[in-house]
Amino acid sequence: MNCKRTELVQLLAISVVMTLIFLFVNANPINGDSLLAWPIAESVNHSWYSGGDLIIEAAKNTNFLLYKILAHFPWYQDNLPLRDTIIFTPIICIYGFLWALFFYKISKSFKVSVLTLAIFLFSDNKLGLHWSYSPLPFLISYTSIHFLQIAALILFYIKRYKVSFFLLALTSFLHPATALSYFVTFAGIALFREKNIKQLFLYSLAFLIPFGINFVLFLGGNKTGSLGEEHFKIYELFQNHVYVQDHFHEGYLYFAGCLGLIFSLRRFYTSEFLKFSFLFYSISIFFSLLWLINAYFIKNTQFLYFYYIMRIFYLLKPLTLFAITWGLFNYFERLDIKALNNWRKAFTFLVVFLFVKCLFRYSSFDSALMVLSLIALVGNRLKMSMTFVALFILSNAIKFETFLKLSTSGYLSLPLLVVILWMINKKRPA
Amino acid sequence: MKNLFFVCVMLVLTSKVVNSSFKGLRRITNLNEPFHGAEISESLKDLLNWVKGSPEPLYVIPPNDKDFYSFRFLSKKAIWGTVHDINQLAYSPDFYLKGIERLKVLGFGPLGHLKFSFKYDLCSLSMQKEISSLPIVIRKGAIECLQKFKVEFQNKDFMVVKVK
Repeated sequence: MNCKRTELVQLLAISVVMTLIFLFVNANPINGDSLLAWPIAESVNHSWYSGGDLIIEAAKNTNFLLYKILAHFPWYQDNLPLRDTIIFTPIICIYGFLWALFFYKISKSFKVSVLTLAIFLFSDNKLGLHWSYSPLPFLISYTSIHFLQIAALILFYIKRYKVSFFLLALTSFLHPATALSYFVTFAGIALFREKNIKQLFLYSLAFLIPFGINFVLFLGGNKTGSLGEEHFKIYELFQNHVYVQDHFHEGYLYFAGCLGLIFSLRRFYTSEFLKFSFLFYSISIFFSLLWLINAYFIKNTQFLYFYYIMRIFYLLKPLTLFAITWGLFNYFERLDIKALNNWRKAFTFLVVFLFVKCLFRYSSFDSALMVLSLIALVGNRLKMSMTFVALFILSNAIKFETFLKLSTSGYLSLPLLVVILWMINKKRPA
Repeated sequence: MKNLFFVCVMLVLTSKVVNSSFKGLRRITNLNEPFHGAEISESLKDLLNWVKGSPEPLYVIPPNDKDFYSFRFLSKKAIWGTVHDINQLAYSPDFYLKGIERLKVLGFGPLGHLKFSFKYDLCSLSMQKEISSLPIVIRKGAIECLQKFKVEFQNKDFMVVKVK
C-alpha cells in the first residue's frame, strides 16, 4: 500500500474540490432527513410539543443513542441552513476523499481513483439503481457517520481487521443497522480470506464487545419481536421493496450481474481485488437471500428491519462503479496502438453501449458514455472521447429507449453488458 | 495534471453543472432565509408562517401530499397523521396500527402494494369525530360542506379550517 505523499495530497485536494462542486450543484441543506431522527429529536425536546403526534411519541419510547445525544445539543435544533452546511460540508468532503482513497489503495492509480469518484458523485440513477440508494446528500444523519464506515472498509481491505471492526462497532452506537450489516459482510469475507475461524473470532470481539454494550444499554430496550398478521399486511402494503417483486431487478439480479461483469473484465484487475470483490458480492448475495427468506417465511422483525440489501448497496454501488471504471480503463490502456486506431473496435463499443442504453430503464447509461469519454480523454484519445460525447448528446436528443419501447426491460441491461464484454474479451487477440 | 484538467472540463460539460449552477448560486446567497432549501411555493411559505405563529400545537394535514414532507420541521407543530410517517412507525409496533387507524380517518383506502387512495375533502373530514377539535389544513378546491367549518386562514392555494 505504497501511496505517494504528493499523490495523496493531490487526491485530497481534488476529492474536496469535486465534492464541493457536487454539494454546490445538488445539496439541499434543509430536508436531508426531515422525516427522521433530527426533527423527531428536535420535537421531543422542544417546549412547543404537547402530544398527539405518533412519530414523536414513538421516538420518546425508542432507546437509540442518537436521539439521546441530539437531546443534549440545543444549538443543534431549529432550521439553520448555514449551521447545517458548515457542519455537514467537511463530513461529506471527508466521505468523498475516503472513497477516492479506497479506490487508490486498490488500483494504485491516481487517474482511476479520481475518475471513479467523479463518476460516483456526478452520475444519476447509475446502473438502474435509484440514486436515493446513495447516501449523498439526502440521508444526512446517516451520512454523518458513514465516512467512518468507509474508513473501516479501507482498514478491512488492508487487513487491519481489529481496528476496522472496532470502528464499525463505534458507528453502531449511532446507526446500528448499517454497522451490523457491514460487520457480518466483512466477517464473512475475512472467513474466506484468512480461513482461520479461531483468529477471526478473536478479531470479531473488537466489534462484538462494544456492540454488546450498545445492545444492553440501548438497542435491547426497543420493542421488537414478531408482528401479528394484521401488522404484516400493512407492512407488505407499505414496504413492498422488501419483497422480490420490487428488489428483484434492482437487487439480487444486480448483484449477480456485478459478479458477471467483474468476471468478464477479470484480466484487467489484480488477483487481490478479484478475490476481494468476488467475496464481497457472493457474501452480499448470501446475506440478501437470508434476509429475503426471513421476510417471506420467518418474519423476524429484528432481522427484517436491518434492510440488509439497502445497507450493502451503499458500499456495493461505489465498488461496482470502481470495478467498471478500473476494468475499462485498463482495457483501453492495454490495447496496443494499432488496436486503438482500429475504428471497427471503437465502433463495436459504440454499438454495444448504444444497444445497452436502449435496454435501460432509466437514463443511467448516459453516465457509462461519460465514463468512456473520460477514459478515452485520459488516454489522450481525443477523437474517441469526442465520439462518446457526441453519442451522449445524440442519445439524449433522440431517446432511443422510447423509440424502441424497451424501457421496461431495464433489468436485463447489466447481464447483457456482461455477456457482450465477455464476448469482446474472448475475441480480442492476446 | 493536464489530463485531469480536461477531466474536470468534461465533468463540467456532462454533469449538468452548468445548468444547475444558477440554482446553486441562489442557494448559497440566501442561506439564512427561514425556509431556505425547502424549495416550496410562496403560498406554502405563507401558510407555514401562519401555522408557526398560531397557538394550536397539533394539525391535521393532507396525509399524502409531498409538499407537506417538512411540515413538522418547518412549522414546529405536531402532525396528527401522515402516510410518510408509516414506514418509520413500523419500528415501533405499538404505534404502527394506531398510525393506520388515523390514516383511515383521513380517508385512506389501500389498493395494493404502495397503491392507495385518500378521500381527503371537507365533506369526509366533517364527519370524523376524532379530528373535530383540530385545525385542518387543506388545499383549496371544491367548497362543498365548507359551511360546516370556520375558516381560520386562507390564501390562494391553502385553507386552515376547524369544524364549527
